[in-house]
Amino acid sequence: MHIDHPVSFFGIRKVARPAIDNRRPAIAGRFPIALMLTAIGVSLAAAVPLGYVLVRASAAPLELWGRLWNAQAPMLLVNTIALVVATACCASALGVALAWIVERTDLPGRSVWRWVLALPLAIPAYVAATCALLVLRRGGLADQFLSSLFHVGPGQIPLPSLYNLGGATAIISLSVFPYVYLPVAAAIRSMNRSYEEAARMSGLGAWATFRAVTLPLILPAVLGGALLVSLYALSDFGTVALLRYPTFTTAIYNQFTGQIDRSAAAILSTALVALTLPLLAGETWLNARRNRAARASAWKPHTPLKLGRWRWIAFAGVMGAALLSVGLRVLVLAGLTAQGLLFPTDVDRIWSVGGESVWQHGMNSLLVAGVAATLASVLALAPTYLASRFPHRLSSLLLHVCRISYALPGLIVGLGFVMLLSQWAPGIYGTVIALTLGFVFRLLPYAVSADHTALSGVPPSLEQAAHVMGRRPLAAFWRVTLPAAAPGLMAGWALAFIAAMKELPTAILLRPPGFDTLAVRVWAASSESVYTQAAPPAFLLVVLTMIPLALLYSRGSFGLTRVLSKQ
Amino acid sequence: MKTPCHLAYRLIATTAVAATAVTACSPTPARPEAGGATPSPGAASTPALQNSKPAGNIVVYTSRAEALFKPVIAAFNEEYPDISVTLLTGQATELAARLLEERNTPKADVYISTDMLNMLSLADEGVFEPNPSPAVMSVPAEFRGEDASWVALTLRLRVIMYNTNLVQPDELPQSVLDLTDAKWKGQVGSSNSTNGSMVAHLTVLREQLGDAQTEAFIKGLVANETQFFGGHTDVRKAVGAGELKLGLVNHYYYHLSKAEGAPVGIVYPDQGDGQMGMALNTTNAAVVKGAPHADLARLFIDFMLSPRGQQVYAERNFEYPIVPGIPLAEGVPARDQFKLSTVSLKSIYDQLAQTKALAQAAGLP
Repeated sequence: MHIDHPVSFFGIRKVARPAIDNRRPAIAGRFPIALMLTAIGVSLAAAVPLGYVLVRASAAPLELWGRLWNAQAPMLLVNTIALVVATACCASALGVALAWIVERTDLPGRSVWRWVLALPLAIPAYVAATCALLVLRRGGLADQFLSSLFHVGPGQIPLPSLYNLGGATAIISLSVFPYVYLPVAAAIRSMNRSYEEAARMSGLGAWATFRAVTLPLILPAVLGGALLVSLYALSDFGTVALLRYPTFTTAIYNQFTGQIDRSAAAILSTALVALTLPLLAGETWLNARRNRAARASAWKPHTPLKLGRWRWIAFAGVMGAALLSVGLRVLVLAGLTAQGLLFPTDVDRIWSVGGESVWQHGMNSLLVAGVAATLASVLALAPTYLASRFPHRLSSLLLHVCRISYALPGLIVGLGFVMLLSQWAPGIYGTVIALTLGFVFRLLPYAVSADHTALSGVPPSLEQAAHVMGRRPLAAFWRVTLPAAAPGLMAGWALAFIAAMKELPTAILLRPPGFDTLAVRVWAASSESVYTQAAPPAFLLVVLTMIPLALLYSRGSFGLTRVLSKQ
Repeated sequence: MKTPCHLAYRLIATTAVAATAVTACSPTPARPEAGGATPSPGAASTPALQNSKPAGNIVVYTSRAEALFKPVIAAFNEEYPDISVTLLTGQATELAARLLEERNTPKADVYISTDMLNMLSLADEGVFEPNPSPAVMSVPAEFRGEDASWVALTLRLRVIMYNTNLVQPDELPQSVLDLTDAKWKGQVGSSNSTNGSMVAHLTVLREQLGDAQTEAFIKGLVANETQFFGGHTDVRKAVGAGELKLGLVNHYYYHLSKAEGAPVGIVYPDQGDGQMGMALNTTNAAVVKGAPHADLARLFIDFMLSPRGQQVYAERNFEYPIVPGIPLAEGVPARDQFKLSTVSLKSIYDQLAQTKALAQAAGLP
């Protein structure tokens, strides 16, 4: 794979790449007022849902705070933090191990694995949970198969329970380890081999070399990935709800659906926001370190490590991870979809009464995800262009504001929109417009991240040349900047699109009658344990998401790795 | 063109965000009762019904599980093939909040709830349109709003179901209060505070036992590691599959599991001398005030109260029909043989908020 997406490290110089100095105003002259006003507008709008949730929480009676705090918060706090820590550790270990094996050794089929191991991102964790329940639940596929194999009665086969921390950790880790795997693999690929060679020459073994040299070098990538995993674990709603593992998200949802007044949900949301703040601070700190790191030169490709007799054991391990995270899940969904189509039961027939076809739900998903990803990408251009061309405290502040809800669970964004629209725009509330708007602001942080990367990668000198040639700023942006940044912008769009396809909580809270998305259908069916009806929308969702993901990943240089590595 | 929302496709695709598109999802070609006047009982005078075959789309908000409600839609569509029914399912309170928030721009035509208290509080807020049709008025007065703004459709009892492979008949609990017994630690399934039937049951308990004992009961359930679910379908599946030994459910969930061949049994709790009797609740329907298709909504409610509609509820869902004379499903015992709670739901609907506060304080998920 061609590599031009360096991940920078503490104090290591590497990879020659056109140096772009973003620190001084790249375009001389006037500060564009119109652009700045647009950027301020977008940033403020992005922060409104969060602000509204906080305002509503602060307006709630103190007595309600006390009641929720005493009865629920301690347990929720323990559960949520345990899940975040366990998931971050498991996903990091898995991601690092896979990245090292795939990138560093003579593992058979490396080029295929590189691609396959990104695919779990196409399978939402709540779909993964549905698959796991289907297989491992008492009376599920494994139970039926094993009890017929050993001729024992129902309930005799010991099965691991999924309804606990272990189950939630395993399912979420297997779904989100690519957040660690992809940046770490990129870091390993672009690492200068001379360091490891020096270690090996001074007598260290493969493991000692990994610990002494490789691990410190990839640590920033690992930490960055682990942060993304932690943020995901904090915001996950569907998986923990299906596994009945109480966290802040499920508690917020219960208060949202169980109380007319939204105050209790808003109060619990503030606790969740407070939990995300240290993670956000960590991310900012990490990014700052990366920016300070210098770039290296004299990069040379690696020669793969010969695994010898470990080769096939490693192969089995990677195969196992791929099967558990992608293969089996897709197989189960496909099989169950086929079963529902070929041998419909009474339940299947009832569920399809008066309902729209899975294709209609697929169209709904594609439509709302497509429109929302496009709008988010376009809106994100204003603050990111401002930040990349007119570096200033204000523009970087706006960028930060836009990215706030990066860490915000979709549930809170949805909650903010429900409260805001029902109060101030009841005409829009409960329509497709509201759903789309909610999605746009849910996606804005993804789009801001990607657009910023893409626009920063376009040398300002190109625009300056256009200005010298007499183009107006807008024309220069349209004719020069946009085409040059297009691949990165497209990658950002695709990432936002994928996130929108998978988005569940925002969709549940804002769905209008008669406009269910695939995610909502999966949720509706699996929360009633009607798995044969959860499978078709889940299968279609995975297929529709895998296509852009595969395209994105195969576009190497401007692809997923680069967006996730966020240089 | 199945639902009005499809109009939104073209609109949204061409003009991403436009204030005018607000109307896309609530096209109101004709509001039959302009001015909010109470419609005449014979709703057949409205334009859509003058045709021999009424046609259109109605939006139904319901806290019923989809699987339990769709057979009714199927039967309705056999009689009225040109009326499509669009569903929005959710928890009772979630939908109640939505109805209140949408009261100036109603999107629902019919609301079907699984709990009378919820219905009474919404009626009190004036969210519903009185619907004194002959079918509604023939329902006993205790099971409809005084102004006919809502009507009960079916009755259900609160029972305990158990897995017959895991629990012996002689060790069964005889009261819902026994579910806090330490011998059932981690073995009981129940719905959570979002479920209308559950909150109504707790309100009845407060009336019968007082706040302190009800709070102790909830805390006991939580301390006993009771598994809490959003709905009862999941509870009955968990008990049927043997993941849990006991489940606190409405009576028909036992029958539904039994009909699927699951190894389940039923306990009618609190029947002994001095015990409080079983809690009773209703499912209910109402026409939403300002409903875009109020005439079709009334037609739908009349259908659900007709012998055919009541039969579907009785036979497919194993519920007690509200209309007398409809035969019960096989295996469902007549309810007059049980000792039922004497608490009148109509008198305690204003207690709902206090129950929810109590549940919050006691830590019910």
